[in-house]
Amino acid sequence: MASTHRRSRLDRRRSLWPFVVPSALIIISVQIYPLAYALYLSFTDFYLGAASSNFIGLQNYVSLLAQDRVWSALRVTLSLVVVSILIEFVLGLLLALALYKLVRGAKLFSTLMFVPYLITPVVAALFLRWVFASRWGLADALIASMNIFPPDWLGAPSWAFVTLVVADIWQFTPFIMLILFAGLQGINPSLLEAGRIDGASGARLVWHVILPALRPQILFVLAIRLMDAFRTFDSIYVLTGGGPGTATETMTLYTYMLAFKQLEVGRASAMGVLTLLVVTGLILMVISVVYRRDKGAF
Amino acid sequence: MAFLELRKVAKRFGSHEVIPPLDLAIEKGEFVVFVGPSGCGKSTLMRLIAGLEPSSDGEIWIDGRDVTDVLPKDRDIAMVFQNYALYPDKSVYDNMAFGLRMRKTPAREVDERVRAAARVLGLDALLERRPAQLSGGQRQRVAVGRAMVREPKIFLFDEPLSNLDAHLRVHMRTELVRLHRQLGATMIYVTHDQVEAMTMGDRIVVLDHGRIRQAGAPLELFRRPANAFVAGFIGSPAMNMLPCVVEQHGTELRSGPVTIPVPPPLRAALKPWSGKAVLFGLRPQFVGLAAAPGSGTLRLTLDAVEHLGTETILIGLHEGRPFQVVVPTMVGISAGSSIFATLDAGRGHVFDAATGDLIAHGSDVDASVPESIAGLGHVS
Repeated sequence: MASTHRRSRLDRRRSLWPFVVPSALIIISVQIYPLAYALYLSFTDFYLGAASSNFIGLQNYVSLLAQDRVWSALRVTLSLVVVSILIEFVLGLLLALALYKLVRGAKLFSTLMFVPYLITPVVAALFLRWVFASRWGLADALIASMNIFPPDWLGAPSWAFVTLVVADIWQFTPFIMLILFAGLQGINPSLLEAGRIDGASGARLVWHVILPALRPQILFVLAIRLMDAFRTFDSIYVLTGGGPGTATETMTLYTYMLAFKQLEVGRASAMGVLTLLVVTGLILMVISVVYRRDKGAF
Repeated sequence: MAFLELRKVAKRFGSHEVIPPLDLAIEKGEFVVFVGPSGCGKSTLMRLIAGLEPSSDGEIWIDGRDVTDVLPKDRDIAMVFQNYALYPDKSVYDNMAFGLRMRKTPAREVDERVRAAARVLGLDALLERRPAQLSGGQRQRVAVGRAMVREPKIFLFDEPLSNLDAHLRVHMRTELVRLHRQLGATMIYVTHDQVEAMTMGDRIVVLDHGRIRQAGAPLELFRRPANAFVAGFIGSPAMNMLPCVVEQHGTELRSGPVTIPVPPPLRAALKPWSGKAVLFGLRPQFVGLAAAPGSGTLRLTLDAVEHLGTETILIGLHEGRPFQVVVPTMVGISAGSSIFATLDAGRGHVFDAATGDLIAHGSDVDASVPESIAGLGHVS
């Protein structure tokens, strides 16, 4: 009796397999296969245009890690990611809290705030390039009108970095705001009232009651933004192209250079794998920080 | 001066007046229950006292201090919410300690108070757990504990038992009453359940459309309702209301085909109402059954019969309104059958049909037991 029962359950499970196949095929062909192929390429000296390639083991990795340019790209990427996301998170949280307080018209406001996120990144970057173009851009015009000599936004290394941060903030703060706002709306109002009666108001209410309640949304938004920010290519490519020099060259930008300018696909693949490792490490860190106090309690 | 005083307190949302100006005084140590149907303003009134809603008008005084414009945290009140509102990321201990820590209470005192409250509530073993790991009843006790450790001037309970199952509700009811006795604290309790109100409160405030319809001790409200609303709301099953016309200079009430003789003590009060429409209210417990029609008996065809074990509720219609009779458990009566109901008119109440205001109580409303069993005497 029990065995026939088990068999029928197995049969049932087997009969469900065909439903998984289409999506599994798609995932394998567009995600697993390219990833595995890139991993394979990273162990070869594949050069675009060369007739053949050889397995060279970890040589790509060894030579990449010996390059100052790689470490500089990692440094630029990390500082860009950390600075932008920190500012975006604080701004996004403040905006979400403000939206939460204003009830009427909040919907219209949040839609407007979302516009930069809806624009294609390249278009947004082109737009920003007009804003930050030296001497005749909108930013310079505004600053010059106040009789201040404007900085060279895209030409000076530190200002180029600032410009990239501003571009990222402008584009992605709305996303963080919207997710956190949605999270806020999911918080039981009596939880906030209990906090107010218990004596937490203003910043203390945010710190002790609201932020812990928003933990799933915070984790989600930070993980997504981390992955995205690490991959950012379009806006940097359009705004600074990694320059001046390699001052704003990120890991993705250097990967692009290796693959499509220098045609060293094997080495570029190794660079991609390194990026993947760094991102994975960072996300694990985010998870452990956000959930450090109660592991497994969602 | 009372411990808590509401003076002409009113609440409007835009142009909608939820609570018209209202006065209420609550003494120290009282257990007061706000009861009424949903939307009657009882929760709003509690939130005004808590300071979670600003009042549109009037003053709120707690222990001799005007707190009308004082923040909730500075009113020295604690509140227990319907959904408990425990901080999900904090342990039971931290949930209870939070309010004290926010007030910068020394850590040792926090610990002492939390442990003392946990002992009283039987939460000792659960202090390290998180709310998600607790049952509904345990969460409720943590919510009560969080209020207790603060040692507030006033405890506010907003329908705290309505998320519990029936059995646990009865249990927590007695626990809260015991706690009130033990702490001697001033408590205000909001509920829509008149059984909770009757069993828990020293005093019940019946609200309807933001107005206090009557405030008084549970049995006083039961025996001497001030209007048809309170009469219908307090008591289960609800009081029967017979639409009547006063006839023969107040000596008879005619309700459809039935003529009810008015007991002599009521006649004087009804005399001026001769020819006018009134409601005659009589609790289902004070309706008897007769074998044959007589003067003042009501013929009822039963729509439903509810057997509760200890008693049976017979439900029929009279003049388009439900009419219920409570009889000791018996067999042989089922839906569809006809009965003759006799009315113990001396235990009835007469209300103005137009306004619902009281005209007169029957002369026997204070007798605690029906005469038929009073003769059995006390067993002590």
